[in-house]
Amino acid sequence: MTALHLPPGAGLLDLNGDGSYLSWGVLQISWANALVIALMVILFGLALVLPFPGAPEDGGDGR
Amino acid sequence: MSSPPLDATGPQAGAPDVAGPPPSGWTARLRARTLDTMSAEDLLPDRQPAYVASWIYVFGVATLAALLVVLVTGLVLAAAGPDWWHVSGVGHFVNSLHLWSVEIFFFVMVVHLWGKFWMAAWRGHRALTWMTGVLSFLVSIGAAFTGYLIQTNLDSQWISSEAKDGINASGAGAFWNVLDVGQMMLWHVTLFPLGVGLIAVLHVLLVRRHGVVPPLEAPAALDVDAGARLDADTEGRVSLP
Repeated sequence: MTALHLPPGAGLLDLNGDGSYLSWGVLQISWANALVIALMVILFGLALVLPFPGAPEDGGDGR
Repeated sequence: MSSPPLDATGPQAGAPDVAGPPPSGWTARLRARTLDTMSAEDLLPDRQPAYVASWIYVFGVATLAALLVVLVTGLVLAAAGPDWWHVSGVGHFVNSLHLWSVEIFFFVMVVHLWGKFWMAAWRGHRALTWMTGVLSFLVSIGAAFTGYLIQTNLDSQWISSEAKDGINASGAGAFWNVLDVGQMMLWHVTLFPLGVGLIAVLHVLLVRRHGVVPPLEAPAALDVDAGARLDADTEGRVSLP
């Protein structure tokens, strides 16, 4: 396969090489997928704890 | 005996016959059921309960926003075709918009799913809302999968050749051939978007009808935003119909 010639800065990561994987027994996951799942977990946690702009602090019904 | 002349100002001119039989026919029944099920305030609310002012409630509408971008960019790609999205700079850009909006769609949909699961969002007669969300998720996976199959590049060839064994082992390969680009293209641009779109609309309508589910720790009395259609069970808990 002919290598792609991308302009400088076209991508932060070189996605044309072999992928790297995390292995744990029979379980195997690519680093990329593991990173996406970790980001989702982090975002989920932040959504639970970060204050929402304009939210009433007294927990009233806000109407 | 001759018939009386038609009078444009008489009862036949448009005033409903209140003393007559109830309206019949499927249009009248559908109209009555729709108006009985959901009011305009339910459909387009301008207020929400205070508990909705939380980041965890953002991901549902974020999923809808991403889906809208997916559909619009998909329409552009379908109109211009593979020669365009493989070669032209604008085509690359729209193709990337389509890909990344799908990535964001699944990303925020999974966070939305986690949020709803941990707050048991099927409470208060919302089981159908939950199940349409599950169904939408599953159909979306099919839509994304067929999208990867119709990139018309080496990646799509690799994915389809890897997938065929699993699909064939399930028996579905007899009528759903992942190596058939034409069939996968049609599923991706017609059946799957139609399915995802219709289920998403139904999901949103159900959310609007029953109201946004309150947090587990919220008092039951807060579960009233969808209107005055309250039912109290024998234990005094308040839920929406």
